Amino acid sequence: MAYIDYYNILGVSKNASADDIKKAYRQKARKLHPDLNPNDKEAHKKFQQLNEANEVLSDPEKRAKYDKYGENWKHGEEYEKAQQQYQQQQRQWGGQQGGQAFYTEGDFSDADFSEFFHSMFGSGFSQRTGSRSQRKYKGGDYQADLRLSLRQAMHTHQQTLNLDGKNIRITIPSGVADGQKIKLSGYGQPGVNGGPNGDLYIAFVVEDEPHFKRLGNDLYTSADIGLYTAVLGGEVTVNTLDGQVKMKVKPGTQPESKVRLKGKGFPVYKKDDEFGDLFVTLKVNIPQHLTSQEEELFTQLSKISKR
Amino acid sequence: MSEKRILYSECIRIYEVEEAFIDSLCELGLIRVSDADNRRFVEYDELEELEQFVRWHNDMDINVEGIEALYHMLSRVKTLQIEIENLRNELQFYRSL
Repeated sequence: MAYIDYYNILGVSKNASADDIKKAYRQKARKLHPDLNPNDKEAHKKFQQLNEANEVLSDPEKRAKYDKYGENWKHGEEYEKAQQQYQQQQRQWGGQQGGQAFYTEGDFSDADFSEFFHSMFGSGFSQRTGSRSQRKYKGGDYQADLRLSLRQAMHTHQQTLNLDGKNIRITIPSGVADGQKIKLSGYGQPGVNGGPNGDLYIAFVVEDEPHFKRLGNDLYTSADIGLYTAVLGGEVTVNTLDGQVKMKVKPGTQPESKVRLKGKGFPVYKKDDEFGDLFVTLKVNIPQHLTSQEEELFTQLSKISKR
Repeated sequence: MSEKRILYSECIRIYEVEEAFIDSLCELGLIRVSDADNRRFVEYDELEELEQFVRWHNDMDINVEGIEALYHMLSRVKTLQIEIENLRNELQFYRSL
């Protein structure tokens, strides 16, 4: 466990006044506050350190203890124990009442504070007389990813998530997009001092399927057609995510041409009965390994078309 | 709008803010309040944003005008982030062709 230089974190000198500390804290908080840096873990971590530094240096009692021991805080701890033992003995032997313990343990506990902090000050904040000890804090938010296949994202369905041993059943509406987030209020970390719980944010990761790609509400796929169908026209069966459909192919269809099937794409998020389109790229299969008769006929065809 | 709401005075007590602070947020349209039976209420739906504004005010010493500016800026940032996400998906789509 390393010593933490709270003065350095706040960017103030060791003889900074309470007002300097308050100013420095707020100035840095304006840069690092989690509300201004969503999803920035580094800023979040630095804000926690800043909070911790402010917690210590803005409290005269904690600051005095911190200043007294500084980098020798480990020895300070041993000294404190020895002092307490001595005072206890004095009381037992009828001696004069010694000084009070440095702090009293409160019921405040915050996992965001460092090991160094807990080791030096315990987990109690009950001696604070400032507004901070009274203030309610919303619990931290949880962030989670939820992977869905394209087919799963196509239908409204329910999933059960396990969070800290608690099952949460959520309904996933059809049409959720890759990267889209939903918020489940109150499923985050517990609030502090009676503050509300944080929220759970779920980011969906929607994976493409091998034969389908999605762009917004539209789907893209390809279908193979024979040369004769491309030249003479006909029908082709196309796979959609919901089954198969028959599609007409116009005579003279060029390779890689795209056909739009209206309303056969992805469902539109939270809009019942609205769908995107399915774009089908037609791949023309050129016959290979021709028989001699076929070769002869193609040669004739070639001669005819050159005329 | 949700059926659930909290008394304006109760809200001031719970969040330990001055009445003038919430009044100003209301005047700027950042928080919606409703009146019924000669009493003023804050809808539950509004509380999350109110908590955020209280945090900005307490943690960063930002006044109401600053909160308004910051709110609009952050809304813009969120819109742009969604736009970036959509463009990233689109780019990935074309790259995979």
